[in-house]
Amino acid sequence: MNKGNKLKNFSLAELYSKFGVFLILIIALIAGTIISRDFLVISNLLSVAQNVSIYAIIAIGMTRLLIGGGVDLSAGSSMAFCSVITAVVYNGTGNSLLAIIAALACGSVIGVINGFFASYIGLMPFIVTLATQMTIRGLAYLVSGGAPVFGVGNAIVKFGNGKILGIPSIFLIVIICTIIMQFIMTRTSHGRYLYAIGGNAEAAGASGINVKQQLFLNYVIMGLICGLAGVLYAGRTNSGLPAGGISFEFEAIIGSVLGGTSMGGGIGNIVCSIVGVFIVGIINNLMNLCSVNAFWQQVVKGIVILIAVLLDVFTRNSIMKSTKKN
Amino acid sequence: MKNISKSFPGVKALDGVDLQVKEGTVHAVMGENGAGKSTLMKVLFGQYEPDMGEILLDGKPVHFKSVKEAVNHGISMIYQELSPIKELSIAENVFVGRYPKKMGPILDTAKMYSDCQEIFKRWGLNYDPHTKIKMLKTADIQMIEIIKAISFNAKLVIMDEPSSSISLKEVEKLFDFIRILKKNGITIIIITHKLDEVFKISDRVTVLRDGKYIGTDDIENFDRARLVKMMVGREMSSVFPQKDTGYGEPLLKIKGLNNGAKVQDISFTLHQGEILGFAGIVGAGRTETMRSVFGLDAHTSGEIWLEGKPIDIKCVRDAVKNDIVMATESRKDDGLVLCRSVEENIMLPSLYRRSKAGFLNLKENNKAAREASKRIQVKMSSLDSMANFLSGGNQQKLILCKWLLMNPKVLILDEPTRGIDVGAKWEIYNIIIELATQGVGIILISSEMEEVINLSDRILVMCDGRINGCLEKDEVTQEKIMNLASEVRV
Amino acid sequence: MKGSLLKKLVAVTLASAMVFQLTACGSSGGSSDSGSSSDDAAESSDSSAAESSDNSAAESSDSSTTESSDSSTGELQKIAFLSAAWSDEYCKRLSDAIVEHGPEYGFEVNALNGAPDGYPDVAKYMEGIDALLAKNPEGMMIQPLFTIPDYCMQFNGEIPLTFVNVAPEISEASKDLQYWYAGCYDVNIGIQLAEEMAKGLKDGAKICQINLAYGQTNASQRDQGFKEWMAANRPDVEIIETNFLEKVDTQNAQTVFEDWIQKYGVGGFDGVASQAGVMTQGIVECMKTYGLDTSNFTVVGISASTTEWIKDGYEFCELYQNPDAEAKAALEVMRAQLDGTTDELTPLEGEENVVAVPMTSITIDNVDEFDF
Repeated sequence: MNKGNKLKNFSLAELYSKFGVFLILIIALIAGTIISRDFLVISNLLSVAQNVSIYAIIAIGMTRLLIGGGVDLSAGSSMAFCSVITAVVYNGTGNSLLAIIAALACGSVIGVINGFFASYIGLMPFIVTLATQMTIRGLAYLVSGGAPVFGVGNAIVKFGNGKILGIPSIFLIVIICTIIMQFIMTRTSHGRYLYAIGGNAEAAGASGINVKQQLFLNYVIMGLICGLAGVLYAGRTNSGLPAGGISFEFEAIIGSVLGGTSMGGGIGNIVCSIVGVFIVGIINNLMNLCSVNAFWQQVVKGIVILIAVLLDVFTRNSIMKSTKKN
Repeated sequence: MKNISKSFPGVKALDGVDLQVKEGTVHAVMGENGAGKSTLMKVLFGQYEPDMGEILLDGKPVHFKSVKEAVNHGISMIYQELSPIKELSIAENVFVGRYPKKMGPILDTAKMYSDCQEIFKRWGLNYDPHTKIKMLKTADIQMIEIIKAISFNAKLVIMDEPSSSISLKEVEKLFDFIRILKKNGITIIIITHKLDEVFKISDRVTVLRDGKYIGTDDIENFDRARLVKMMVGREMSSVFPQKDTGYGEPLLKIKGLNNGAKVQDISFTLHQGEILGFAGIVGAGRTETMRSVFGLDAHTSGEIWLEGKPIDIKCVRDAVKNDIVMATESRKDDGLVLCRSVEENIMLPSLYRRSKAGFLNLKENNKAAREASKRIQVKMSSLDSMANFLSGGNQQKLILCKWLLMNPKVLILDEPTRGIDVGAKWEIYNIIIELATQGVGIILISSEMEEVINLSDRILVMCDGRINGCLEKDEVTQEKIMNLASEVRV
Repeated sequence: MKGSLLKKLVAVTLASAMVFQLTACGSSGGSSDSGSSSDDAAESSDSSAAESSDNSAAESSDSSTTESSDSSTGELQKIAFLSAAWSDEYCKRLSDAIVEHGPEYGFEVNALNGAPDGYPDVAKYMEGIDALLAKNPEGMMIQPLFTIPDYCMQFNGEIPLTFVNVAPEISEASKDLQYWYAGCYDVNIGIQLAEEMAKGLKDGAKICQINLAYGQTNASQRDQGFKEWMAANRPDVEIIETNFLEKVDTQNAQTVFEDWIQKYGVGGFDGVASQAGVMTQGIVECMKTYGLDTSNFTVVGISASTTEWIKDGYEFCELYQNPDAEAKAALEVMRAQLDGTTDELTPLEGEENVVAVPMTSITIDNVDEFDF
């Protein structure tokens, strides 16, 4: 039982939360090198980086939400919708900048809707974003006329599919966004508030934090991020795809949880989440390189999800275990 | 029950307690918060096994390893917190767990309802067994709980604070029913605080204090004074930090505060440098009052004045901006974010004052947190360790730390030393006194008599949602507090 | 202490499980790949020996683009094939056929499923192409989706590219793409479907369409061909419902059919045109419950997996897409591209680089010729 002063200030779970994902990354890289000779080649690794970048962008926002105690299941649909907006606006006006702004604006509006119902009205985020997921998907089909909208212009394609000094530009964007968001989460009061709210919303409220406002903001920012993801997705595929992005939100969640984010809130780290997304990308890449039967790939993916969830429960239970005693 | 002792980690709840109850009587077990009454009854009901001592039922020794065994021996308990299954009917609730069946597993609902009806008739109650329980009032649900207990063929019924959630009229009905039970030879043990009721309904009274057995006697041999003295009379430890300073100008004035529920018409004044104690039994409404003042809960009417100016408090932010802060009752629920570090917890409320356009100066914050924690002497491995690794006492100090950094004018403390060992308590008392000496107005809600009496300049006693009386430091005695706390103004 | 030891154990177990997984995948993936191709190699070693002698004769007169001399030594050239979702039965059979017949054309085919979790997504296809390219194949065969042709511009001209089964959508960005297309021409398929269905429809018949997912190119092109032919040749026929299923499976098709029954009643419409076998299956199941068959209801479909429905009298006509025929046609085109003998192919009229593979109409009259 918990008596006296605990001088031990570290636990396996806390440690995993902070650094475990890097260990798994190293294991994955080593395993990859052993399994396939085509793996540890710069071009392959860069293509993995390019391919996971969309999931990574979404994961940046998703991790923020998970830290704050929420979730957004509509991320994939929002991204698809925003990619459609990008293409439609570009085809209508010929102006890339306008297209980007339109997409970001639409993403933000979706975020406002999600945030309003999840935070101010107080509905369960799972349900709210499930509903928006379907609604936005339908809207995407309507706006695009059911078919992909081709052509988003050279500028946007350069962002999504181009390379700078051999490194995929989309990956560079991921790195920049990760750095910015990590800064926000650790060095601004907003970031601190999110951690507190996710950790114990009542305590945060009782400390004078406007919980509803902060959570609302969180969803709006997620919407903005999905808008950005939409622009990049449009750039990568050179089209607005209403059917795109299905289950992308889960890729983001899985990567995030592998990176040590707790689905119960209060614990998580943007950088580690991106590494987690990268690890999932490596696993997919390895399976493709080995020509693993697609149906086995499905099985493996399911097992990865299971491991991610177990890790989440393990870290959360272990860390929160002592609270009952106190 | 002979010489019953029961310990939990860190606390000896019962220390050699005796209890003798005669068949067919109503026996009251009385004592303060934490005296051990509930624990003793839980031992009797098979929920806990005693470390030492024995229980004899009808002269035969019994050893209950589970509630089921106790029930099989004819003992039944009605808890303070009733938990009926709301969507089911009365009959279904009464027969839960032992539904009459026909032809194997199929429920015989007809029999269930008719059996239930019979039971009601027998005891002179006129409920319709088909009514859904959620339609009934608490008092009725209580009666039904008792019926349930009796229909298990209980010979001994234990009631834990039966009148805590019902009105006076309903209490009368309850007592009438208890008298009927008595006539039928059923023995009843009541755990209660309420002096008036004990005199109305019980035959004998046993008093516990601090887990020890104090005494038993017939009710005729008691008067209020003796009862109260037995409940609270103890050696007051003289080693208690003393507050030398008095208090100054009025600081916080509350007028006519109502929270739309239990709390009604609260008015009081807190002065600068004053420690204003709030005493009363659990459920008197002290926490609810202060939560409304702090903005955690809404209030329907009332005025709040700070330093002579009226202020509007609709949410915690409002209170905090007016330099009114509160350390809530539960550290775990809304006191600390346990999965975050010590530093983050300390800095949380004051971040908005310390950040420029939202950006934090990590070094400065770290320094401030370090200084604050040193001042309060919080024992921890480092500022980065997780808050829930700290002991209870240090967690409480952490909470004080975080509010101190706000330089509050008013500090509300709700049970600040609950679950904390003696050493840490002393340290916290010193901090409280030091703050008061510096001019902070402190409201101290506490159920520990010693604490309230020794620290407070004045004590307000609440009962049933209202302020029942005010005692000055020089005139306060434990008996006076108990009297005011248990006397219900009709 | 026991608790934390347990946790350490769990963490190590999880980590090793993950490594074990990856290693297991590696070995099983490799062996299944090499297993199938070695079997094929044994079977077709005779035919490849015959073919290789033919090829070497043709080669010597051309300036070959790649190391086609390999085929004469019996070693197979490695090419890659990105398949659309294997969850679609035809795609899976096509993919298997390409892998199976590859060695007949001197190829060892590395086939990959472009939609591993069942949802066709351009980004995931790109991942697949990257993975295939990482192994340096000598030729790429792709079942394209939306803007994949744009993505193929990155290796334009470096290795031969053959699109299979789905006509590629060429945009501004990919107008200079060098490729060949071997496969069905969806507009023509729509036309063929309408032609066959019309044979079974009475005057003034009302029909419903059940199509593949909205947004998929073959869905809209088949639909286009169908509607255009009907409008031009059977204006009396009224198409009262056209449903595009987002998730193409039997159950959804059944749900849609039930909705139609609710709306129009049994007898309220006279037939259904289905674009894919999985959906036809759902329609046929529903027909059984409502007592419909070819005598009072006309159903036509594309790419069914069984001839049962025709034999049992539920389906009027089935457009059979022969995966072996399509696979062989595609492989032949790839072979020609690698050998530089593409002028010997017979492209579709009006197109320079399209080899159209027609479908076969199966009705009750000729159903016994087919065995599946």
